[in-house]
Amino acid sequence: MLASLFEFLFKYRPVVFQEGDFSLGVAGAVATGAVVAGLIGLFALLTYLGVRGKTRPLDRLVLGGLRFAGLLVLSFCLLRPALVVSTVVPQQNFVGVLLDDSRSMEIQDFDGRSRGSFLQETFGAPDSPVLSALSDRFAVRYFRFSSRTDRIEDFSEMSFMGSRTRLGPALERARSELASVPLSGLVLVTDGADNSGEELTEALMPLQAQGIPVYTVGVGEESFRRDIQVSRADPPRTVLTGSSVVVDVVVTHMGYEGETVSVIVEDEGQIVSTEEVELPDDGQPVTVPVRFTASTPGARAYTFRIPVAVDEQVTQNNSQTALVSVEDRREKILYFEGEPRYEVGFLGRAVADDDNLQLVVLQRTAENKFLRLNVDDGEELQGGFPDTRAELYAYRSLILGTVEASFFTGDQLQMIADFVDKRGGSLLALGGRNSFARGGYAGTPVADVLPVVFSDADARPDGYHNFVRIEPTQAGLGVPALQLAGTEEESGARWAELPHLLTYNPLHRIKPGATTLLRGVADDLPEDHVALAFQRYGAGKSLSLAVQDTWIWQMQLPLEDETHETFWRQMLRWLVDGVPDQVTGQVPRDRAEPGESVALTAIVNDSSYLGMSNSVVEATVTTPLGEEVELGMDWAVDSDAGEYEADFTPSEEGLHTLTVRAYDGDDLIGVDEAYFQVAPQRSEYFDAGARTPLLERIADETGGISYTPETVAALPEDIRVTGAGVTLVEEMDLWDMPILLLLLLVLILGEWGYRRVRGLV
Amino acid sequence: MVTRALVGMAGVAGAAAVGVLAAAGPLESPLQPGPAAAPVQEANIPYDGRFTFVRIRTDVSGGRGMPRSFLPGGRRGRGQPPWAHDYPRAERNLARILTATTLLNTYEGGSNILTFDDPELHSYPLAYVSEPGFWWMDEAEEEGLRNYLLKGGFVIFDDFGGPRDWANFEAQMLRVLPEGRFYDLSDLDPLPTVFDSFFEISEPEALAPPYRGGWPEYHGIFEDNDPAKRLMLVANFNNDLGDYWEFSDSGWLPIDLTNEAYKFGVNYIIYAMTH
Repeated sequence: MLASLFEFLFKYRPVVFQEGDFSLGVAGAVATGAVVAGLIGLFALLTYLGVRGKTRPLDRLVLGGLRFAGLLVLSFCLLRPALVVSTVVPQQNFVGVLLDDSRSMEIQDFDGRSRGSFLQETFGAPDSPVLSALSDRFAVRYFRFSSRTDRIEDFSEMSFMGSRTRLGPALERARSELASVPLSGLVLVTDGADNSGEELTEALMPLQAQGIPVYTVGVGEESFRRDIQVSRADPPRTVLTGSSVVVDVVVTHMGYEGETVSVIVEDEGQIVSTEEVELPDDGQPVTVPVRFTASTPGARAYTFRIPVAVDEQVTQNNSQTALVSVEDRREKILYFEGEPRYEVGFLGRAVADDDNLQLVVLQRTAENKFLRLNVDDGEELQGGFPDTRAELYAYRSLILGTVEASFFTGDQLQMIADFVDKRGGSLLALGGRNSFARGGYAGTPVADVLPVVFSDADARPDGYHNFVRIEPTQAGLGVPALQLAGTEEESGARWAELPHLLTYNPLHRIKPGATTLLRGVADDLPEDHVALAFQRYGAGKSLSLAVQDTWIWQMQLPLEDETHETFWRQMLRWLVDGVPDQVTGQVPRDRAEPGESVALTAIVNDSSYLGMSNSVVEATVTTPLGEEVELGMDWAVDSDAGEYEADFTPSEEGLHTLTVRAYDGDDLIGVDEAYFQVAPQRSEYFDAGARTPLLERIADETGGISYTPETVAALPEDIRVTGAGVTLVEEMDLWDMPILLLLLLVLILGEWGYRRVRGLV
Repeated sequence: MVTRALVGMAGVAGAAAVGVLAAAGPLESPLQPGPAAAPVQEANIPYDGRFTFVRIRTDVSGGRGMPRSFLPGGRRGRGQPPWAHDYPRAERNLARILTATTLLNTYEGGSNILTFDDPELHSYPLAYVSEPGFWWMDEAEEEGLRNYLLKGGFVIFDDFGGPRDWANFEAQMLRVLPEGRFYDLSDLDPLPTVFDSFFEISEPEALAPPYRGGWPEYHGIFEDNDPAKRLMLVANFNNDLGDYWEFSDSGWLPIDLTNEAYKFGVNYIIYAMTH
């Protein structure tokens, strides 16, 4: 509106004034004009000064001023003012028009029609004024872009089926393709909903360097009026069969404030969990923890969805699907206990029926005397606690009972730290009379790994012990291992009912980056204890459980109560979760479209978990139809040691299995499997609102202009004035601007009116 | 699979048992009888994380009163009720042996005395019953013991022998665990790990009872009646380990046999801790 008014009054669009240089058409015009204006002004003043009669000095001043101003306007026009603008030469320059061909262009938020219909009407219809104006002035080249960018000859080649929007590669492709011709600019027609995750700066830099402006045309609403979206649901990539899984599902919405919706979890189409949530204020995300049990082994596609609500504008973003590898294998955990205590027997019983956990117990019963339980053979742990990394690293997790630090050699203490840091294993340190500071761990490498901070008070030699009530923190309530019931509320209530536990270790502080998950609370304690804390350390994780006897839960709760078993089963599964093998196959993006390249990686370590860069790594991709495709994997030179990579382009839809085999010479180091799903992607429907700020940024940084469907008509003329390429200098007259005529009329009528009012006519 | 590693453990620790006890100071004379039917019961200590021996106080009357042989002047028990036989010296001596031979954090002052229906019992997963041949339970105790065993508790029955004692014991246990099946532990091949949890006891039946004739038998009930699973209780039938423990420093009983008796006690406790 303002732009139109401006153009009406000033004859040209603001961009012409921005780009042009002001000039006067008369030689020596500035000096001459000043003298003429001065003389005219002086004459007018003298004329009025000579007038006498009814006039007052003020009247003479006002009337003289108005006349002087009118004469100035006339003088300005006589000086032939003009704008000198560099404009592109017609039909000697090219313009690249990039049309968004992704699925989000099917969203119907352009006056009730799809975004794509705007593209069709503006850039695809033969009678489109914009298209005609562009074609009159430029040689136009069209591109369509989504996950890839292609030249097109005709709008009919648009499909709006692209799985992703990649603005950067699209601009780069068009720039490079038109590099050999005089290019006035690129026109980017899109909703701007880039979901590539790629940085745009790299694509904009060459455009800036070559002075190629990008004109953006944004289509679509920035936010929908009525929409519910499952924004995120990231379950773990691998879990053990039977594991409890808690997934934080992030839901956003517009227009459904206060309504209650169900978040449904489906395992291959079968509902395994449902959680209800009341939607908060518009635009506010809400996190819904949903719980389910991964009971079926294999690669499982879990879908997290919310049923389509009434009047939803975008229905395709109501669900997210994630691939989870549910592994039915037995994970070895070493529990080293420094003194006989009931925790050993009860912990062992709690997980005895779990076929996926092998709790190997090394119980020190006397000085240099050990009891071994659940070992694989007579040689395992025969010498007591492992004294080589290879022996210790065979386990995925280490539970350290109450044993004084001086039991270990310095190398063994360092080895325990490296077990977490380098091997990626997990460490759980239990409380007891020889644990933490009381066990002399301050200043040892193990203390560095643990999530708690020791203080002098922790090392009290006076036999400190206290009963504490165990309370989950807010963070603890969200940890799957600490879920004792089906919902967060029920779980919290269950914790409150548990018998109190004994602690010998008054720990109060955690390290930066650590999280307190359980607190030890007692009325007579001035400060809560840190009962369970967690932190990531290096490649692994460490936890401290500073209580003496969780077996109390087993003995003091009713016989049918399963709290103790549930707690330990979940805790041990959490410990082994994500702990790497020597050979690990990975598919960083586990969902792809047919024809889209899939990156495959393998991590290969030796028995000490040092990356091996000289191993032979073979990958086999098994397609849904059972075809096996052999691939050689190459060491990724620019990555960490031991990382190998390959690419695979699937042609079939369905579940693909990656099998990685790594060899050290002729010796097989290990085998691992990973999965990826090939199917049409729906990422285009998520966060699909038009991103006007991004499009404005692209235009600003390249010297272009951003448009909306309402303003796009000015595009061809603006490119003519602001575009690059072959240009000529054009003078644009300003003397006939309507604003000048209007100004003159106002001044003349003003003088006349003043006279009438003052009775001077 | 259960295996045991002996790394540098020289000989049998129990061989030093008598020496340990001698060094620990004088104990009460075994000849000094306690008050009839009411032994001096030291106050129970609250649970503090240490291993505390628990002796079960049982009713022996079956509602019919105390057998005459247990009354003051009777031939059995030095006037103490059957459940209190060898109290408190047996458990005190055993506690000292545990401290001397193992790393167990042990309360050495004696034992807590509880009943099977006492909720406090569930803070102590190992319990000892003396003279179960005369043992009788009410329904609350029966339920308490059943829960105790199934939750993970371990019970040692000691100091009984003869068909009448066994019949009573078996009858009481079958009230608790109607589905339970007794195994003769000595007959199992391989021997149950309870005989290998700390000391290696290759011939359990070789330890002769201190005063009875014949040879002992060790019976037990396993979880789900599966010998591969946890042993819930052990019955030292026709034996009296408590007597050995009580008189270990008196010189009345052979040192070798006393040492063997301690091995059983230590093994039972380590087994209960680790299984």
